[in-house]
Amino acid sequence: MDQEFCHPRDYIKLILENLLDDQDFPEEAATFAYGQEWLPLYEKCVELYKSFDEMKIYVNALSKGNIEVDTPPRENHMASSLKHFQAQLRHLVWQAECIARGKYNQKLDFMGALSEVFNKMSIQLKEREEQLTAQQQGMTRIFDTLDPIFIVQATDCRNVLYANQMAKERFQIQENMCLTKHSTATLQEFLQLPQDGKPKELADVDKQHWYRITSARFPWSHHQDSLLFHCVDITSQKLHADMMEQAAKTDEMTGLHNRRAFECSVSNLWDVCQKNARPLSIIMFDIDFFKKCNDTHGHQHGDTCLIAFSRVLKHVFSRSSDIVARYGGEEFIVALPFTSKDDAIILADKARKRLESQTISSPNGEATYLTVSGGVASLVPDENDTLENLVFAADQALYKAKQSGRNRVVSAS
Amino acid sequence: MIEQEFQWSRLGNIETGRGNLGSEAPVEMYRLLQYTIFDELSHRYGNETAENIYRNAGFRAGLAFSQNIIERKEDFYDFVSECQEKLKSMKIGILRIEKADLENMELLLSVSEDLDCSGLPLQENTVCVYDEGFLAGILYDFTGKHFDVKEVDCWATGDRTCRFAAKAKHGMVT
Repeated sequence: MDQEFCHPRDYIKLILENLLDDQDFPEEAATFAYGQEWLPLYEKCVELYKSFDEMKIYVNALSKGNIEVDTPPRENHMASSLKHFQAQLRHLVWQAECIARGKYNQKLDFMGALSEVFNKMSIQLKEREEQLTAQQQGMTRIFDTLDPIFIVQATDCRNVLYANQMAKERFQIQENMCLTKHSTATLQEFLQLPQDGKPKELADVDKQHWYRITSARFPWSHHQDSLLFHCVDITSQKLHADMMEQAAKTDEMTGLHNRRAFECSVSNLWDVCQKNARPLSIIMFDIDFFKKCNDTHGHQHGDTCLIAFSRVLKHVFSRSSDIVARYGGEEFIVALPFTSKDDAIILADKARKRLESQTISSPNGEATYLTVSGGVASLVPDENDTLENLVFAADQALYKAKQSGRNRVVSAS
Repeated sequence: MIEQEFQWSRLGNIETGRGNLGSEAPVEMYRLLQYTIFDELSHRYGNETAENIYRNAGFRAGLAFSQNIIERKEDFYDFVSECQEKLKSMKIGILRIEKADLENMELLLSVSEDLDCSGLPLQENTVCVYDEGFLAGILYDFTGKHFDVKEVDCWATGDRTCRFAAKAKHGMVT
């Protein structure tokens, strides 16, 4: 080397070649600095090499996306320009971060064609957001006019995410979706419902309204799982159905149970008495000479008599567990759970006497009197007995009461 | 801390007062004013004191600027956008955010085409002490916290943009 490169210009050439070829600094070049004349030039070459080397490391890092790389320590025009570029790149990251947070009013003005595309993108995003907001407001207005109730509740924190106007009114949900005591209790009930999409009927906490509720999982957002409750007010249908059911079970004239309702209810009493090994008593009543009453005073008076006796029965058999029913025509039947035959006889006779003591005015103002015959049967139900046999026994006892002169109570043997 | 806040009304009615010349003046005149006052202060009280005076004056200016020019924003990102827009429209400089650690209240800001220094000849030290105070004043108005704002790169020391590191003096805003 020493023989080949003896002149400083050759060393300078070597330094520049190594610089451009990405080679290490040629240490042998230091020899040309021995002469004082060339020392300043040598020092400048070293500085140039180091500056270029630092810049190379810096640019390589930037080109690989490492915009956090430390800036070159040496101050020069190229370094400062690159630092400026780095500052702009970092700001671009900041602007992207702003957009990610929904702050779309970002404008780029230092990246040429990229600025143009970036600004178009942020304008588009802003416009889309405005469109979505307008659509959301439109949908909200539509849902606010609907009668069904819509509530979306977060599955994790239980916060209400959405409630339409009807939901707010019915469940006292505030405008900011905060819950009142009333709405909290109601939604607590809703949460117990299975989320199978099948409708369930439920009353609100005040039992003022009935709802048919469909509950289903609902993807409110990418990050928020929720439940959608769709509630239809069925209070009027429910009241109507209750009325129909009541009418189907009730004797219209007397207001007592009818025979069908009696048969449905008494089988439960049978089971309860059997389970507890306690007596069940059945009393059958039949108004004496009712046909004659009808024939003499007319059917209107006959109806009055039926009503009068039903009042007597309601008065005497007043325990909530007693079942009193019109069995058909002028026949009445009473089921008395946990009541012995003796007590049933006493009660039946009490009813008989109470009716006998009453005066019932006929349509023409004539005072009439009414008597009734009763048959009592009682047993502690077991597997060998049947309800039908018990009723039959009471009916047989009634028959005996009729046969033996009426206006009396006879018990089955 | 601030004995008496600067009253914006002291700037007067420029529209009326400068009906023909208008509200703008050349940057040279602004810098002439800045650097001659600085020279005089430095000559009388020393460089360090002159810098402190400039930094404090900048703080008052930044606070007044924020209170009278910048629209109030509760969200930091909106606040930055508003600052950028106003600093640009008032031709003070192009503000950019390089880093923002909101939890620790640390920011790295750059101001390009800075009113004070862009285009200055090379010097040994950074010169934007007034800007340091100015930025601290704006940040104080938004956060209620005092910030240490230090210029780390400056046109006057060979860079193409001024870079400021800002850090809240007492941690997070409560």
